Amino acid sequence: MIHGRLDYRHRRRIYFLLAGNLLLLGLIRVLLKEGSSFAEVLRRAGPDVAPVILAGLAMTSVIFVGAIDLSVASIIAVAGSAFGVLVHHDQPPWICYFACLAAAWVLSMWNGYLIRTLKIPAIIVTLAGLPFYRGLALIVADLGIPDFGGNISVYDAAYHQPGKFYAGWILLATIIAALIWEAFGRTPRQWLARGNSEEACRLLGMKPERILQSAFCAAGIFLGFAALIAVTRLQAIEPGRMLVGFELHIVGAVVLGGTNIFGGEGSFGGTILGAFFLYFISQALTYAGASAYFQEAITGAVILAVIGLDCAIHRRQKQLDELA
Amino acid sequence: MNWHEAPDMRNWILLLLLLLEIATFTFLSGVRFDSAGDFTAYFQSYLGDLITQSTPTLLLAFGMTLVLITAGIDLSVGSMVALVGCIMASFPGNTEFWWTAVPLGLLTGLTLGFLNGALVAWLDVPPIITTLGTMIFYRGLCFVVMGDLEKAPFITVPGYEWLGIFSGVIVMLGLLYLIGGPYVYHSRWLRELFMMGGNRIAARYAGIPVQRRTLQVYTLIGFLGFLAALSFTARNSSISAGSLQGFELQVIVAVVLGGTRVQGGSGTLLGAFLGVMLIAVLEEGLRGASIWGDTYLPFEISHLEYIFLGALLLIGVWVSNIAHQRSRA
Amino acid sequence: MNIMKLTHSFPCLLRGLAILGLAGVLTGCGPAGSGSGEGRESIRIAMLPKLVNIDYFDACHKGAKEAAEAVGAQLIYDGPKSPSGAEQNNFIETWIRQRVDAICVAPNQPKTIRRFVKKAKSHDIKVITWDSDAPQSGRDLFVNQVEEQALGQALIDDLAQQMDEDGKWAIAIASLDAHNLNAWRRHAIARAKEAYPEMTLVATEITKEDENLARQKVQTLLNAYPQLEGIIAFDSNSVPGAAEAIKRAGKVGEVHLTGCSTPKKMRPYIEDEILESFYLWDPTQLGGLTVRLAYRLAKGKPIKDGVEIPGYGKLNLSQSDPTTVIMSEPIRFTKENIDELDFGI
Repeated sequence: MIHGRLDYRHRRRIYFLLAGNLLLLGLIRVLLKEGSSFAEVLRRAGPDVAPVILAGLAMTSVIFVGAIDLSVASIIAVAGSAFGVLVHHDQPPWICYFACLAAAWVLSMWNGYLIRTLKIPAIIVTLAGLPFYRGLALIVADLGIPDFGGNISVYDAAYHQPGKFYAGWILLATIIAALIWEAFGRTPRQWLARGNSEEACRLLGMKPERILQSAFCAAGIFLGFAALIAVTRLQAIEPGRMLVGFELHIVGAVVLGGTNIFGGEGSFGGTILGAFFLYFISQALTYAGASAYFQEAITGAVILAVIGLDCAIHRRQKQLDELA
Repeated sequence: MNWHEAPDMRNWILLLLLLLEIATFTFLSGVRFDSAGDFTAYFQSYLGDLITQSTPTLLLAFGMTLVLITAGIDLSVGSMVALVGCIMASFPGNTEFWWTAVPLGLLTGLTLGFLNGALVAWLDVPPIITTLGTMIFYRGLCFVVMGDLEKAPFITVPGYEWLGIFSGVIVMLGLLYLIGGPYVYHSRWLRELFMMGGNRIAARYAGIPVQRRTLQVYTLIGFLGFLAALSFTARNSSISAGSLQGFELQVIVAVVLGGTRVQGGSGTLLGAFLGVMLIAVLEEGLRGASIWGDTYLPFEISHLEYIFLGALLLIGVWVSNIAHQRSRA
Repeated sequence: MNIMKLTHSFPCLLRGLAILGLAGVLTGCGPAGSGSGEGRESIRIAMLPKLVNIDYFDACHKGAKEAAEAVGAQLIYDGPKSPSGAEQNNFIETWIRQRVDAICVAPNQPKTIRRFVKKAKSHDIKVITWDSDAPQSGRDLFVNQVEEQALGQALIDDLAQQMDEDGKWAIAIASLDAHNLNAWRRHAIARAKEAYPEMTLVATEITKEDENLARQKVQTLLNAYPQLEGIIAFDSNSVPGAAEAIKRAGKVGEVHLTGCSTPKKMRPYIEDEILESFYLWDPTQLGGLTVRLAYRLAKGKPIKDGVEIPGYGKLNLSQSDPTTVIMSEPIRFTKENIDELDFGI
């Protein structure tokens, strides 16, 4: 079971983040003024972080196998372009949603394929994908829409359903499915196995290539939902500028959640808590009325403090582990 | 561990790609040369602009290569350079600037680098998350220092402009790459970094002071960040809190294109240099080719920069990998 | 370990660097001679927006293109992908080398382009700033779409009138280092202090040019300050984001919103009466006017008060600065006029 496969360090990180999240929520509760609603804080949290968590789950899957995907934001931009072009040509909503999901899935699979066949590390392939897909998104929009002027406006509320009304439910369903799969499924363990040692996998008769591809496949599905929510909650889709820098935010959430950036160790739960933690920091700063000039510095300091503290606590143990 | 597999073949390929790029884009920019004098004059200003534009990237690429060799990474370079610049910009622009702001900038650079190193070496925080945190933190400090202002004391400091023009940056880069580069290349220090990148635990058992080396490398980046801040502010004569956003990815892409392994244990400084130049030539070329693009392309030429950058990185690394395997076989 | 190979390859490293170094030394430090472009008959105008892939500047581009075709000039339109002053300098350098006749810059950081304006002028290239000015840079002309102070004050006046000059208000802004936005913000705050003492500014939120982040942050603000009555959003993504937040929080009518955005993004919110007004000017006209003035300058024709410009009318120069052309007053968009004044963006 899941509890069994997580080592003490990872478990501690999860408790740490859980405590951190509760602490931040408590802080927000204390800071609330007369007339503010705490229920509102909780109710909005899910839908607001949904794309971060879903993209985070995608990132976690590929980091499990020892890969990484730095092109997530650009992939979402391509999905947004595809969605916008179809909306522009008056296709029914379900076709547009499907195109959005499919675009993200195909590009994620394509990343996996390139990594497998070119034998180039994932970080380089997806670092190349980061600008490449961004350009692709722009070209798709530019060719698909005559007179494309930097953004695609989507007026009809029928096209805003997933992002504006169902984000929370999509998130909840995906989280439950992901956690159950992680706890009982075989595939996530195979990812971790490959992340630990590709060679060992091969010797055991597993196919590391196929495992890698399956991780990118799952990531594509998660990413598709992330894109669907991120794209359909906007009034105007800007393929050239949407979510720039999102990938580092995601990597931050994943690593904060205790997943080893080099693969083979981690959990979906950690990522979810990490994403919430980052979200609640920014919320708490607003509720505390922190000056706009200081917010970023405080956010950075809190992240450093949390990670530094956690690493410092188990440093001794880690050194002992190395000796063993 | 393959520090000794000096990838000379790869660098020749990168050089070839570079020349190819220059030729293509010169053609696309629509420049026609009537005489040999025209030709040299054009390329003089072309190369001069190219080098001065990419000085900050070149400086940081040196440090980034070393840190990637140790299997670390530094995502905070953009914020670091901006913060050093912001702190220097708080001083009035007169002669005193040289012995107040500049030393303080140096101290800031070293401190910021050292802080990264300390978190990585002493607290064992993974480099990527350390520097992701400091990237946000240092950027935040920029806003604390500068607020919403754009400050330009640099333009009135006597002699400061020299740091941003060709002769100044060539001295800086020459010292770094022609004197510092070979010195580092032959040093035991670099081999220890390679070993740390190959296997950190083994390196410790081999008697390499891993912590000290880590601190040194990150502090060196801080120092290079200070130099980059000098040349950046001298060239652009002002700085604001949001300057140099996205700089870290620019440096990392260039270094990776130059053949440095992100997982550590392999990399060359010359490769990093060529990587930076490849990207600079690409960007410069697309800037110059917009008339060609308007005529022949069904979409904006600026979209192509993304496409080419991605393709260049992938193809560059792929081709040099293949060549590398061939040459070893 | 293969030390042989290591020492062997080192000469390669040196050689490679020496080639580049030599090429560099050849360059020298002085300004270099001309590439080509001599004997070209048509005027070449380069136009540099703050950034590309954004609807506002795309509309400017459209206007510029039409004007360039009308006067028979060749237009180069390109710019950085993020609002960076340093990258704009690289564009200016490229164009100086290509010997364009005029460069029109919308500077992200006005002080940053100073050296490059000088460099361009030393090559006999006319430099015009548009969208925002670079004072003391030595530029030839500034095409001011709308005065910073006038817009900042118009925004706060509008909000004050909607809020009955009393209550708490907040700001949503893309970033703290965007020159225009922060100039408007400063003027608005100064005006509020002086003219509306009953109004208190409670918060400023940074929205990073992201519509959704703006929505998120404003929605948080609405919950954090239940008595909040007004919001000014200074950029085209913050206004729709803030409008969406007000809509979702169910505070339509309680919280007033105004700001600068584009008609295309704001139409649904204006039609649903979530906000009463927002401000803009005609960006196509701005692009067109800039190109026509650049053409006149490059041809050596004077720019004087009252000169007739096709598609625009009589020029209006600023009283305080004879090199500043003022294009228009800010236009107040409301439910009534949004359909007539749609600039296609």
